[in-house]
Amino acid sequence: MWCSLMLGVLAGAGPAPTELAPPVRLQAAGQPINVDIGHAAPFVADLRGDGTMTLLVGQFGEGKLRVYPITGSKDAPRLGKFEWFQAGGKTATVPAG
Amino acid sequence: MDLDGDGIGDIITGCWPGELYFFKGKGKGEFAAPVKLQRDGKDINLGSASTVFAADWRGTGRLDLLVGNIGGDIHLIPNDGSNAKPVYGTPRKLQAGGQPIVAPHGDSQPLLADWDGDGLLDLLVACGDGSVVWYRNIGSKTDPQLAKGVALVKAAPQPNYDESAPPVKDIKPGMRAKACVVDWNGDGHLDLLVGDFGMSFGEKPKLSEQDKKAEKEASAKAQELQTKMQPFFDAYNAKRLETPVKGDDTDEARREREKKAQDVLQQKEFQDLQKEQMKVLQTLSKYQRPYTYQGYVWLYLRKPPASAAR
Repeated sequence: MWCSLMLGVLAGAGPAPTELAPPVRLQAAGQPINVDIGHAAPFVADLRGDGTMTLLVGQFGEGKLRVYPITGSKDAPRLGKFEWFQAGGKTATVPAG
Repeated sequence: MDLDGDGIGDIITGCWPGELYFFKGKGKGEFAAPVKLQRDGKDINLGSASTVFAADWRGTGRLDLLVGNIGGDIHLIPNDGSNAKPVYGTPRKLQAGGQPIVAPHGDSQPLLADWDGDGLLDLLVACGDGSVVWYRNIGSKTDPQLAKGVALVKAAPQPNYDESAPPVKDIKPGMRAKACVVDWNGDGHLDLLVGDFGMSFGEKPKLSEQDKKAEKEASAKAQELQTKMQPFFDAYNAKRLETPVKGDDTDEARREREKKAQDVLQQKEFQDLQKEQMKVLQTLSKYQRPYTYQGYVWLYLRKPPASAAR
């Protein structure tokens, strides 16, 4: 009985919050994502509100925002080619540099 | 994030000069042209290189704003109105362990997430030195209190734009981290995505005697221009660091100081010197170590739980 109690406790225990695996670079369409003039700023969002997720990545270059489609499976997401985020009918920018 | 409570996701972002931009979602992936977020009818600006995250930090049902800046502060701007019609109150700096939070090497980027799964939103801060720090919420939903920070991601191995450093052989995470919390591999545990910045220098090109002479001349010219530009930089910094009137550091006072400082750099004489300097630096770059920027997105997966005992 003690063994099954231990199993129950350990199975419910998640990873310690500070234990992260070594970093790997995200790839999109076969290449590591590398934004213009650095300062990559990622965010995962359902941009269209239809349940499909996208990876948004901000950059310093011209203050633009990249939109990468996420496909593949839940446990093995894949990133496709990006498009520039559009707002007000044109490529969106915020002041940079 | 649905900032205005209309059921459609919106986007907010900071920018280099410091204002906060709001892109209203119109549905089906369409967004309106950006507008700046305001407080008391004026653009919010709590310092340059701003970053922003919206979340119900105080458990009021309204989205507050957490704002980072180049100095490394974390400001909370409370929403005292509603999500549809926000009324942003007086910003205050967040503290942890009794001290104001300051990101090492500045460039703070705050985000909120229940990192340890205890039901309370915690604060995570991505920092200028490349680290990501977790401040556990040891208070409650309506009265968050932050413990001393614990680094989830350590500082970058080297300041990746050190011109005297040897050429970089291994690609490693850089500085000016920008993080996002997400369960990337769908295993039920939150992971980290961390964007970076870096500059790495290659080998110095082999120079002929003629090249060396041209390099020396361009270097001297660049130094001469820098000396002429220095009084403008000194005046700019003096204006930015002027003591605020009445000793309070309001948005308006900060904005006024920044505007007066920027006016110094808009003068024709400075602009002309700067244009000439750009040309000289471009010439000089032919004789110096080539450099490349990096801006990668690093995935840090939460390690799987320990196996059950047999």
